[in-house]
Order: sequence, then C-alpha cells, then structure tokens
Amino acid sequence: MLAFALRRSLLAGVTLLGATLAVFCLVNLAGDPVRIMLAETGATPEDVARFKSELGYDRPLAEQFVGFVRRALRGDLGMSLRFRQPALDLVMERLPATIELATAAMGIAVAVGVSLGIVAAVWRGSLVDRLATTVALVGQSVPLFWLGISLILVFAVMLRWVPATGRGTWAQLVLPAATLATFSMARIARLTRSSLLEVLRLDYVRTARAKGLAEPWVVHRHAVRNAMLPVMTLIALQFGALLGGAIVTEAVFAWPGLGQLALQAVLTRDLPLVQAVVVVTGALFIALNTIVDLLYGCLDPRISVR
Amino acid sequence: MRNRIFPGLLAVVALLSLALGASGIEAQTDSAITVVHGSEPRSLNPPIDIVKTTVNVELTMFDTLVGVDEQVRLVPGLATEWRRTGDNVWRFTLRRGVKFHNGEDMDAESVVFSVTAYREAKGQATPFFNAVREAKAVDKYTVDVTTAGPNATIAELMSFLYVLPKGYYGQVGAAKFGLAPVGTGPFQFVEWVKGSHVTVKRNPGYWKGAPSLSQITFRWASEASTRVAMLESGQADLVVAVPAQMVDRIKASGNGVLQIQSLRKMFVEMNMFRPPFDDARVRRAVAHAINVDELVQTVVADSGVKAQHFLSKFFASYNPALPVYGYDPEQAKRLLAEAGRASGISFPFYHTVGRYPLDREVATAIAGQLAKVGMKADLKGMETGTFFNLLGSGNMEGMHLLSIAPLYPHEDFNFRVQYHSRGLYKYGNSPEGDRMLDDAATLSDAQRRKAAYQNVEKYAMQDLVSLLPLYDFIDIYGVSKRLQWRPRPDEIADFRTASVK
Repeated sequence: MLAFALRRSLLAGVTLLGATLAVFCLVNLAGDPVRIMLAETGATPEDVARFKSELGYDRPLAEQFVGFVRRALRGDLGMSLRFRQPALDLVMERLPATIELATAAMGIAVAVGVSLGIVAAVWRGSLVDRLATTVALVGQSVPLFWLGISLILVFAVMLRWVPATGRGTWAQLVLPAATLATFSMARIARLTRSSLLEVLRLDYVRTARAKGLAEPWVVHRHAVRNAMLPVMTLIALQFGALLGGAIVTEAVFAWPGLGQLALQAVLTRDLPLVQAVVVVTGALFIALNTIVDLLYGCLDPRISVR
Repeated sequence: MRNRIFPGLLAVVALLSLALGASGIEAQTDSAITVVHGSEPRSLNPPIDIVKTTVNVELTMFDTLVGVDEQVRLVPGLATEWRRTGDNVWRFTLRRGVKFHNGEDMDAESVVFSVTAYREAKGQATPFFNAVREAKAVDKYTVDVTTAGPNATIAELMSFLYVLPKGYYGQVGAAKFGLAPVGTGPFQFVEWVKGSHVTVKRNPGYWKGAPSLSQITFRWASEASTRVAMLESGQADLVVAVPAQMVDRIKASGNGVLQIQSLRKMFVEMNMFRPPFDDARVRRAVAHAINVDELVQTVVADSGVKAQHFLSKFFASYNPALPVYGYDPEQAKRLLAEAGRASGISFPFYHTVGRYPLDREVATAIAGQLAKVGMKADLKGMETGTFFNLLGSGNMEGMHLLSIAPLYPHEDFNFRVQYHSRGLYKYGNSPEGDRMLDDAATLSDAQRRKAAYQNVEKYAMQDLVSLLPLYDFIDIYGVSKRLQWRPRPDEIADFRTASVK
C-alpha cells in the first residue's frame, strides 16, 4: 500500500512537471507578456525592452523554465506581472471560492444524477425513464453560459428569490452551483442508469429476487452498491470538468474564484500567474484522482492494491 | 448494510452550505451606492493598473495633482496653479492644509515622492513618467518638475499623477499599499474583499467639502448580461459598458440609461511600409472605398458616432474644417489603376474579437465594402493578447482595426502613439511627422499649440493617409432610478458630485 502511494506520488510529480512545461510553451508561443502588458498604453519600444530585461523575459526560454521550476520547488511561483503580487498568494486567495462552488455543484450533480439514473433504470422503458433520459441529454448539451444567464433572469430578476451574483450567502451559491452541476449531473445520471441496468441483469440479483426480496430492497441493497463503482471513477474525473466549467460559470455569476483569475491571466499573458494556476489546480486534480484510486481498493474487495 | 457514501456526501454539502450562510449581502442604506464594473482592480496602487475601471475606484480615494473637469479641461487639483518657468521646468503651487486620510500632510515632499513612486513601480503608468527627469521641492508648497527636453505636455501628464502619502507608502511598501491605499480624496478606503468588492466611505474632512454619497461599493462582473441583471434586480445602482442592444431592456425595467460620446475612437490603419499600402494612392483608394455613413448607420448604430477626424471634438485643436475622405468608389478604382493595381489588391485585415464592442462586425462590414472595388481583405480575427502582441512587434502586414483613447488629455498622446517613429505602433510615420510632433510638444502657448496640432493632423490625414478615423464610441451606462450622476467622455466615472434621490 505504501509503495503504491509512493509510486503514485512520484508519477503525480512527473505529470505536474509535464503540465507546467506544456503551459509554459503554449503561453510563450502565444506572445510576449511584456508587450501585451504595455499594449495600448503608449509605452515606447525602449520601455518594452527595459521592462523585459528587468523582469527577466529577455533570457532564453529554457533558462526561464529551469529558473521557474527551481523557484517553484522552494514554494515561490513568481510575481504576477499585472498584479505585482506573489502569484501563489493570488491563487490561494481564490481557491476556496472555487472549491466551495465545485463541491456544492458536485453534491447537486451526485444527488440528482444518481437519483435520476436509478429511477430511469428501475422503470426502464417507461415514461419516467424517457423523461429522465431527456433531462440527462439536455443537461449534457445545454451551454453553461446560456443556462446561467437564464437562471439569473428567472430567479434573480423576475422572481427576486436570490441575488444575481456574488459570494457569501447560501442564496448566492444556489444558482452557480446548479449551473455548474448540470453537465456532470447528466453524465452521472446516464452512467448510473446503464451501470445499474447491467447489474440488474446479473445472476445474484435474480437470486435475490428469487428468494422473495421486495424489489426496492433488491435494488437498494444489492444492485445500487455494485453499480456505483464505475460512477465513483466518473465523479473523480468530473472534478476536472468542474474546474473547467467553473471558468464560464464564474464569469456569468461574477463568482470570485480561480476560473476568473485563470481567464484573466491567460488573456493578459500573465505568465507567472498562469503557471501558478496550473500548478495548483493540477496538483489538486492529481491528488483527488490518487485518493479515488486508493478508495477504490477499499470499496471493491475484488481490487487489491499491491 | 446500507449505502453510506452518498447520504454522507450530501450531509457534507448541507453543512458547507450552512457554514457559508453566515454573512449576508449589505443593505443599500441612505446614500450608499453599488457600482458594477467589468473587472476587478489588479492593484489600487495608482501606478500599477491604469485600466479605466480601476481608475474609477482610485479616483474616489485620491486627488490628482492637476484636475480634469467634465469637458476634459484642466482645472486646479492638489496644485492650485502651474506654469512653465523655463523650457525644461514646470512649477506647481500646492494647495495648503490638505491632509491624507491617515493625517499626513500633503505637501511638496508628497508630490516629489509620488513622481518617484510612479517611475519605480514598474506599473503600466511608469513609462509615461520617463518624460520627467526629476521633481524637486522648492519649499513646502512649491514643486519644480524638470523634463528631459523642452516639453509642454507636463500639466496634462500631471492630471494622471495621483498624489501618494510618502510616510504610509514608504512604511508599508508598494504591494501592501495597493491592497489598502491612503489618499487625499473625497472617500476613504474601507475594505477590499478580493474577488468580491471594494468599499470606500465618505471622507468628512475632504478639502472640497464632504461628498454627498456616504459609501460606494464597487463590484464586478465580466459578462454584460450579468451586470444588467444586477441593475434590474436592484443589486446595483450603476453598471458600466452596457451593450447598445440591452438599452431597451434596461429602460423597460424602469431603470435609466446614460450615454455619452467618448474620447475613444475607432479607425483602420494600414502598414504604409509594406505592399500593397506602401503606395499613398492605394491608401487613398481605401479611404474612398470605405462608406463610413453606411458603416455607422447599419452596423455601429447606437454604439458610435461618425467621426472622421483624428482628434476628438473635446480637444481645443479639433478642426472640423479639415476635409475628410468621402465615399467615392469610382475615385477609389481610378486611384488603384493609377497605382498600377487595376486588377485589385489582396491583403490581410487584422482585428480583435471581443476587445471592442462590435469589432468583428465592423471589420467584416469594411471588408465587404472594400471587396466592391476589387480590394480583397482577408479577415484575421484574433484574441486580444495575440493581436496586440503582433501589432506591437511592428510586423502586422496589411490593414488592422484599432481604437485609441488618451490617458491624459493632450494631443501629443494620441499622435505620438500612432505617428511617431519612436511611438508604440510603427505603421505610419515619417521624419517630417516626427519633427512636427516633437516641435508641437514644446509649445505652451494655446494658440500656437492649436495651430501646430491642426497642422500635424492635416499632414497625417492628407500626406501620410496611414490611418482612417471612422467613429467615436458611445459609452453606455445603466443607472438606477435613485442615482444622480453624469458621465464623462474620457471613460472615467467620477463620483465626487454624484448623489441619490
């Protein structure tokens, strides 16, 4: 178990380094950060050159990257070009808001998705099934942006039940969490349905029925538990989708999270900040998946970790 | 055994929600207002971030050395008067008895310190202060600003200098100052909850008299539809950058809309150093091929006003008598033929997507108009950062769609950026133009300055023809019924004289 955890951590480190390198290359390909910082300001080319050398952007790319990794290992992810503050501080300031949003969204997605999936599988082919499948399909295809704005118009502008934007209260969390939950909810519902249908066909379920157990009991006690295993994996992977979806959701609801910061950092080529975002979210994502891998072994006795 | 995982997860979410439910939204009491911008300030240290929406926040807490009124004219600020005492020297006389919010005196030392801070901050405002060689205190209320060469733009530049408290700034440092600033302005800093809001409250001891508003909360939402929804749901009193197509919706909701012709101007620019636009006849042909009336009426509509002069009407040197290029496709074809391009030309046409309202639509419409006279524009829409990176490199071929708004109200700003060989963009310049601009920038006398810049504009429009002004933007604000406030043409929202009913 310990060896497994160690191996996973090592692999996680390599993955993180790879992600950082990829982002470093992409951002540098897309343009000179200092020139973009001073665009539209009337700064002369001499100013641009002077800023570049002061900020170290005139050195070879390889040297810049090695320098970045070396400092990162000491916990220094550099100064944001635009904010003139440590990039790691900026990311850490925003992280709780995104975790809060993603957790709430995941809660909604799991609760609604699993229920829909079970209902659809149990009453397979019925009107309920068709309704649940349609909801899942719509949920997977509706653009987050459109959904978010529609929810604001209905619940904040017309009904005035909740504020349109902001963070701090329960009421402010509902709309963005529901919006962000939609996509994952749909996927969870569909996977729960197909996974449960498969389990319901298995012999042990027939045995359970044969020994006279009531159908709800069969489903709840015997089938759902086993059907949930692939769903668990999906949930862990969906956290990645949630972090991505958070960019749009946060923009629509002015939610003060990492997504908005990341978008701003990319648009302004704030290289140190983009890298800090990637390192922190990458670490988070990798950690979550590692935890689920370990959990999997506990949940399913057939899988043993060597 | 029952399935324990999912009820457990749900319980965690429920607990989390309860924990988060502790704080409420602030109530909008008496004369407190909420303003919604498109983006959060990066820093409230004035030299760092010069985006207008940040300036709006800073302007509540700081005073500039020289003030600007609603017509973008210079008026006394923390300096009561200023004059040029030599070719390279400007003398500023300071207002007496002004104190910073922390009790520090505002005096010559503060101004000298501020100039230094601007030069050392490595912020977006820093490059502008390269024109200043040094600032020196003559006595407690007199400052001499020395420039590198003869320079008449210093008073305007100083309308861009926020006076900082030497003691506090020196004590906390630039980064911390940017999180909790102290100024001399009509409002004082209360808090900045990152990601959420900045709050400022009335400064009862303001030197010009306490402002009417008791408190201003600045929030931000990058999506225009979200900002408008905040106004409609009563969460906001003022929202900026409203798209023209949302105006009717705001009016229908019982809120108000304020519009003002902006100093920001949209234009197309051609690279006069590379084919096909290295021939002035081809550039003139383009000028005659663009139907600005049609463009403004059908595409820009309520988002802009036709304006084919380079200088905005707010400048003293604005010269409406200078003829502009009229739409004349036949003339355009003739000019092309004269230039040996009768078979037509093709070139890339770069534009941003989403940086300015309707940028893509305007570029597409212009390309359509040019196609009618045999000019094939290959549209290249770009994300903002990529566009400015290529533009700044000087290697942008063909034509581009660009807009500019001056940061301080001096003609030199706009002209130098576009037309000086050492300016930011190098697509239209000449030794003659450089000389004219350098000379004009030394002139203090109002009449001579006006004549000089009218001359520069004539030269730029008729000889260089590298840039074709199209229209001025219209800034649109959504306001609640109770707010009384007037917009300014320089994209800055000033709340000093705002009040609520």
